Amino acid sequence: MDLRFCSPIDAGAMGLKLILAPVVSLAEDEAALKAAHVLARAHDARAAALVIAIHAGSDYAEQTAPLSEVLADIAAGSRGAAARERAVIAAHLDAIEPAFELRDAVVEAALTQKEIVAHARCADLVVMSRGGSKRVRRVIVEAMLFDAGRPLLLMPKPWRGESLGERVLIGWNASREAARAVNDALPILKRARQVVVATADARPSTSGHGEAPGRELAAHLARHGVRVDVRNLDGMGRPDAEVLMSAAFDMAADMMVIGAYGRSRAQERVFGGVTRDLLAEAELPLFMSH
Amino acid sequence: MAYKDLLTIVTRANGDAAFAVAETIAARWPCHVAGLHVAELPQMLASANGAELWADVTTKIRADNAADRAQVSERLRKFDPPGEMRSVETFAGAIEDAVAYNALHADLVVMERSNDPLNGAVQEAVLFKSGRPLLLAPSDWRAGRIGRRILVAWSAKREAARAIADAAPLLEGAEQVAVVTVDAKPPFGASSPPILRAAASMSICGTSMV
Repeated sequence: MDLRFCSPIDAGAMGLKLILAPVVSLAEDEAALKAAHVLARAHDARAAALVIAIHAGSDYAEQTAPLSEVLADIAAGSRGAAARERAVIAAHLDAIEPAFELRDAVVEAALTQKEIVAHARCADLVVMSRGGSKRVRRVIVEAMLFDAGRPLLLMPKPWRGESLGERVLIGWNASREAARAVNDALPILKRARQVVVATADARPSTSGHGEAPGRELAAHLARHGVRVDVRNLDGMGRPDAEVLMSAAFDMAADMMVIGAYGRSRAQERVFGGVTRDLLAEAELPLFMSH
Repeated sequence: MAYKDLLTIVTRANGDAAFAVAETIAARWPCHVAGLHVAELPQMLASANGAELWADVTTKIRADNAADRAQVSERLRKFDPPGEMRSVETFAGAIEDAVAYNALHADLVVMERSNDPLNGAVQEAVLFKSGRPLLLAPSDWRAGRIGRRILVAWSAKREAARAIADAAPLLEGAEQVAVVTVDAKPPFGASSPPILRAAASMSICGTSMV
């Protein structure tokens, strides 16, 4: 057994306290930084950018560079490609919010030694940008979803939303992933002006959705002070993801809360799945837990 | 965050400790309390008079369950406001999903620890199928404070991160929290031992960390 001694921790009310934004490049991750900033201000939380450095010789570098270039990049040290990107990110953050903390991780070590996930485990919410060309982003998103145990907010690129978390659609399928996502999202739901619990083709039963799909969840949310409506949607043969996106459009939702990957990833690749469809097509921020 | 929705699950064999814990929690955080009584019906044995035997046995079991439920209902009436009564009475194969459905909307599920196999099945349903946290009480627990001195077993894994997040209201109100790791090897940066990160993640107000 190993006991360590630490100084007292101070904190305020419960809720979102630390929002972490893993960042690879400013161009592709600007939406995530902006979202983290917006949420941090709304919830009086700290925001931290985790700058992930990809060096020229890295497995995750965009192109395979000749050895001479790799060596030159290493030799350039603080003037190398990764360092230059970090400086760009730091300057950008300095301009929008000096209180944004900056943390660093080098991608090889960070991914194999799970350093990025370790950072995430100490945050209340991780925010990242979707899509983008870099494979490393997909790897990190998966690590966040499946390993971190914390919720992940995936921002679309580009993100033209004017608000975040004011009109929230909850895609409810009565699964444990959805239950985790909803409860992880409580700090945001409590501040929202409008929250809708949407079910797609939900059939009443003695388990799963229960006799009144979505109603129990609505009652639970109401006890937490969330103003909530329930909409049981008839898919009419359309895939669930489309039903949810259509409902999000109807209410001009600025965020969707869903459980991620109820089916395994392998199954979704073969059979398709709601998570995969939403990740590919939804144009609004997705708040997900697994 | 506070606990607003509490579910107490009892099976045939136990209940007092679980309700005692629920009362302690409800006294601290005014919340909606629901009690779920879970009973398993026997499978029919394939034999010459299997159906008749099953009918007899099941009739008796159902009567016993009804008596148990009446007691649970009575116990729930002592909460203020009175707790909500729920029940599950079904076959072994259907118990997990029915329990998970009931637990899905709770902030915290409370149960008593016991070696009873039905209890074990219910706990697994809560832990694996509902996504909600479970507070297990020793079977002889009847009254006292909960959460004054808390020991956190930190494994730096996903499950630990979730447990800490789910226990936030308790951690916030604790007088003292001790974080323990077993054979922890920092995989990164000697400057940030796992303990400090765990402590930083806990958002505890005014408690002393040990």
